[in-house]
Amino acid sequence: MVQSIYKFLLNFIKLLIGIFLFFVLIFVGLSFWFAYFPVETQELIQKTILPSDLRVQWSEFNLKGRKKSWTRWNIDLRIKQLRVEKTSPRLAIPVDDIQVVFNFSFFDPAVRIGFAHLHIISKQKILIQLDAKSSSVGEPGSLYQKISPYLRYIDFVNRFAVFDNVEFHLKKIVLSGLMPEPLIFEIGLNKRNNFGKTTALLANLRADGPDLQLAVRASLAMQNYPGNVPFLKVTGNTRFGKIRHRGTFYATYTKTHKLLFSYKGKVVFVSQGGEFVLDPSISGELAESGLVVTLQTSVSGLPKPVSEVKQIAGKIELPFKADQNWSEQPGLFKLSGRIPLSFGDKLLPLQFEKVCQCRVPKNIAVTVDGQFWPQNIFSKSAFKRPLADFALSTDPVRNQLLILEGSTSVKISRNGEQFEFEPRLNSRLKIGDFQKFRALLDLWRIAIPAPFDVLQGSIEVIAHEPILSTQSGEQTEVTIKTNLKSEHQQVVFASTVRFLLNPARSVLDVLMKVKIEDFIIELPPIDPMAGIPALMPDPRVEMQPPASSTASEMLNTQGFKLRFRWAAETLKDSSIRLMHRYADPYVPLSINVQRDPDGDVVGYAQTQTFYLQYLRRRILVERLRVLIDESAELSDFPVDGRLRVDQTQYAILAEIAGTLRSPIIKLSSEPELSRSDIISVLLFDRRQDQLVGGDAETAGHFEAAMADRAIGLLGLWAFASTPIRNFSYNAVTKMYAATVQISNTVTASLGTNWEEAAHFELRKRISRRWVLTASWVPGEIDTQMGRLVLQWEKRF
Amino acid sequence: MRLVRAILAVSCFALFCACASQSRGRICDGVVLLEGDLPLTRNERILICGYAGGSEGWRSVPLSQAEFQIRVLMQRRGYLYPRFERTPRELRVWSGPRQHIRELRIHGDQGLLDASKKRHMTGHPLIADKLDEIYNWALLELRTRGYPCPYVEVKGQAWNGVVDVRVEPGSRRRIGELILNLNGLDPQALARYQAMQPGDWYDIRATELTVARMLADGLFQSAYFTQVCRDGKVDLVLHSSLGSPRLLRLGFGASTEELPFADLWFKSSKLDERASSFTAKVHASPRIQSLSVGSELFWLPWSRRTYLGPRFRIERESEHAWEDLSAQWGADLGRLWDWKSIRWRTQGGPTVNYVNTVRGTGPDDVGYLSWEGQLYLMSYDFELFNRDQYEGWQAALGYRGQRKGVGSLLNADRLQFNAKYLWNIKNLSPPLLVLAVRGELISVAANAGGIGQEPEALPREYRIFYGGDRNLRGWSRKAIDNNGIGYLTSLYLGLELRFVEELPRNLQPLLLLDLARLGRESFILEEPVFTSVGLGMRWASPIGTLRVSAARGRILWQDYHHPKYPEEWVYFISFGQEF
Repeated sequence: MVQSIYKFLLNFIKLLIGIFLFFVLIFVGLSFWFAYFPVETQELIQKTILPSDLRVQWSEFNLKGRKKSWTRWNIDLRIKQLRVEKTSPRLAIPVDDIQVVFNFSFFDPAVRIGFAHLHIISKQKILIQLDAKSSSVGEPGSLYQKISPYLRYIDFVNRFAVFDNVEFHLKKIVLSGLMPEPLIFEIGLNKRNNFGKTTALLANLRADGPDLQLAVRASLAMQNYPGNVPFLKVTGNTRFGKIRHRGTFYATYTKTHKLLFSYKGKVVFVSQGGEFVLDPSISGELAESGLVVTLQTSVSGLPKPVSEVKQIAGKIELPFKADQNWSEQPGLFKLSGRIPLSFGDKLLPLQFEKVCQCRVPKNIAVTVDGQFWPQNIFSKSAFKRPLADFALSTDPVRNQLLILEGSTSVKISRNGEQFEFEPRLNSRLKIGDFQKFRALLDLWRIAIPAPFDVLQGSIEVIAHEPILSTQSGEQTEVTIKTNLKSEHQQVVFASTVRFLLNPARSVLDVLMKVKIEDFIIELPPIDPMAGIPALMPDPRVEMQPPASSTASEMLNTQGFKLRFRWAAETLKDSSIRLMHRYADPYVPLSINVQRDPDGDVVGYAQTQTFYLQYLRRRILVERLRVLIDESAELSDFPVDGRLRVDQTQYAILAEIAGTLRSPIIKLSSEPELSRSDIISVLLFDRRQDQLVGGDAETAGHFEAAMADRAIGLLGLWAFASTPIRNFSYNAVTKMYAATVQISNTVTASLGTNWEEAAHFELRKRISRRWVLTASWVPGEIDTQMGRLVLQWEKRF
Repeated sequence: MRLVRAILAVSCFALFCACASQSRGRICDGVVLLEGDLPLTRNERILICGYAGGSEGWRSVPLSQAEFQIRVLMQRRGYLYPRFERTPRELRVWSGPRQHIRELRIHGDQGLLDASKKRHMTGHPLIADKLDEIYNWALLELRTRGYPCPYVEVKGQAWNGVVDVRVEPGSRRRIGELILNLNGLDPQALARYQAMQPGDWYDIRATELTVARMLADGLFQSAYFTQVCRDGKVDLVLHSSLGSPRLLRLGFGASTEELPFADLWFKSSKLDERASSFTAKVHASPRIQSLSVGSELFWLPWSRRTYLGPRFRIERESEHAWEDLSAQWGADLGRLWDWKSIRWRTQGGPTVNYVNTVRGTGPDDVGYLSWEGQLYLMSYDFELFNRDQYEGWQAALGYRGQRKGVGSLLNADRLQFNAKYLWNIKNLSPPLLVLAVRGELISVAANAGGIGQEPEALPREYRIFYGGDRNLRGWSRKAIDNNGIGYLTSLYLGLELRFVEELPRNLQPLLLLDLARLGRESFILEEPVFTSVGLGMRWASPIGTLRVSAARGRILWQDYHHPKYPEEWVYFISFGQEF
């Protein structure tokens, strides 16, 4: 039994040795055949192994083997005038001289193949033309799977391959099809020996065309660093500026079949806009399960206001799936950094800190966090598929003044050939203390006017809407909620602000819609009889010369435009309540106005029923509606309304039409009176035939002024609500002057024409019937006489 | 002139300083005015300082709002570039320099407006009131030249002080239709008031004159015109209301000649559809007691402007030189019309007189028949702006006479012509200097030949007395009386140079000069020349014109046969009376 086993083993060993010797003989034979018949070998390989469109030719092929021992051989391969050509992708690689000298050992694994000398010289133009087809991938496989053979070679090289002497010089490589202009580059690698550490790789890269101008010089050197950490230095000129790079990288392939790599460098790009500096530090791990890359860097030289971002940290995780180019699982990424806060005025943060009683940070953390689908990025589909989904967020700010939470998310997807962006705002700003906010604005010279300045409460700005892309551009919406109160006032309304950016990104339309729920405000406690003070600058006084037409046209045609429109409406009747001591109980108002794209305001404002009470008169404003249409050629606020004045025996009704400045007033009464009597009753509570001469003239002047539309609505109210002492109207100048009785002892003058008033005052009423009158009859013979008469009068 | 201007300038500066000192300094808590002046009304103060007595919304005003409001108010006062300095608790205000108008430019006026005639522009502050004034001036100038519907826009340029007036006069229009709303009154009754006719060029002064005449007559309680521009013409629509026709007035008062007096006055202004009227008046004062009744009867079928005027008057008059009782009954034929922008009025007729001179020189218990008539002319400018007394003229020609044997014992004729002309020198608006000239020529022819021969035979109405603010202002009222007998011939020339709108409150200083020669016989002026030289002040007060004058009377070329009159300073204060 033992013998039979021994015999079997012996025969088996013999068989193995026979097989081994057979293969050795085959190998040696083929080697000698290849060495002595290279042309035939090449033809054979060309026909049987290489692709049909690939042609490899050389003028001289030498393979020499020199035995150092039976297990160690020195191989010297030299090829001259090698020419490799391929039609797709088109390749034309002429190499003048190739020489490879290496040692081969059968048994010593440490030096199984030891390259002693590599020498590749090409002084001719090497043409590589890439096209779309050439980029087609072959068998599906993950990135790891595609790279792993090379990774193993790296491992192999690390363990075995050590070139003692390398000279690698390709004089002119023309790469076309990758960029608009052909890239021309030169590559050279020179390594003297292992001990001198003079390994250096030199690459000159340039492109010169109308679309691309590039000149880059890169050198990879290891002599200055310990170990085998390469140092890469790149300098170059582009069309936009100069670029400089210095960096080191390191890669190692572990026994667990992972590639660990790291990179640290600095990139400087100098252009007319300044110096852009990036100092990335990247490390990563490529394994069968996926790729993990971490990044740290800072960026400076960005356009203002964010000139630099510090402490940028990021991480990218990309899962792999065996035998598939990309996994269905999304990749993850997260990038965070601190953006410095910039204020135009250095005082602003100090002022802000004073008001909010908080510290204003010098920078703010910004985070971009999301996922992406490389399978969808690198392949097309007829269906909509997500490409990336990420959110941009900042650290929340909370203090006694405000709460700010800012976030924006973006979804990117591909639908056929179209890329779709779905950004969404998710931010909130709440000004919790309006008084502090007002104080802050006041420091910034922005006035919150009385009576709003005493309000307390909050204003909240909420942005929770997607940014939609439509044919008219990109749009989104922001909501503003206001809830402010004081002892007698209340301002509650909600506004939506819609932003629309046109497709050319040149015009931003802002439309603000205000829905007023409660707007209870005190009017200034002024007395109309004491004269209405000027509230706005006189538009007739021009403060600056008008800009020249060319300059204004340039302003209109160049640069970014912001167009602001607004609309406001009350949600119910009497949403607006204007408080004044003469309004009983208040002036109830509802409005619906908007500013159209041309900048004209259109809409209406109307009051509901209320009383005006002043001195001894009480007027019922049944309705009053003012139409606003600035787009009309003559925009003078058409008005429509009805007032009612109840006198002792009569009710006077005033139907108001025309315009606010020049109303047409139709008077009627219950019971019916003539127009003259109505005015007499309105002004003096008596019919015209009961008036004394001066009062009759007053009524006549008043009627003339009304017919001439010289009395506005305010004047009508003032005169209807005030006992008139006298009224004078000059049709020549269309000016009136009036004296009204404020109390039994106090009178006030209205109107502006003092001289006219003085003339009219030639009749001064002392009481209901008694009038002090001065008269002078000019000129007639012997009748000149000045007279001052206290006069009683009755007309019958 | 320069001296007067300098005095005026100093006066204005003193007034300005007085006003400014009141408004400079602390306006209210937190608002300090460090330069300029800002007098505030009560309402303006509320908008700047708030109102402590109000509710919470307006108890105080934020400083930033106060700054804005002050900027607005400063602009209205001509301080166009005020400067502000704000601390958390205080707003400091510097008004900066006041911008003044440097030039008035008019565009598109087709030569209708002359900027050089508009006064009080250059050098005056660029304020809203000035822009209003320019606007009204341009509008008035165009409307008086036949452009009823003009467009005028006024803009002030802060950076260079130029005021730009852009004018679109429209087309010059004639009056188209005259639509009358007379409440049942015969439209023919309006003719006597009408200063314009269809087809005339539009002139707003004419419409205002018409209205003023209608109202002055007492028939109408209100009247006004509205105009409608159409088809190259302008239609005028008269709106009017008639008062009750009967008016009774009772008055107590004083005049430049009487103190005190009482009046009872009755007028019935609508005796018929053509508005014939009847007036009765009882007057009582220590000097005069009278009863007069009269009528204007527009009964003549062929004329709308001619009237019959029966009248009756009985009177007792007492002066320091005489006292008489008189009664007159007569009837006039009168006419009112307009021609060449002149108001014409004439009337005349017989009068039966009774005179009884109780004291002084004059006829005693005599009845006689006299003829009286007058023609009176007045330019539209004088009539419309008679309160201002800036421009225009008036003239009157009167006659009064009696014939021996025709209800009278003697022949007597009194002819009187007087005229007044107001010259707005350089036709500025408003005027700077107004030169007023008035003259009077009276001559009385009596069959007695000289007044010294039969002074008691000639009724007092024929005789001439001078002195007082109606002619010789350097002499007391009717002081030049020829020992109470009066004169038969006079020639008078009065001048007055008035400075207008140079002092505040419409105070108008004036220089005066009067010259007169008198004669004790018909058509003969005797040697002495009576003069008055002085100065005065006119003030258009709210209750009438007040005039103050101081003048010294001088007699030139004294005739020792003439009665002696004391030469001295005479002071007058008159109310309601003009030059």
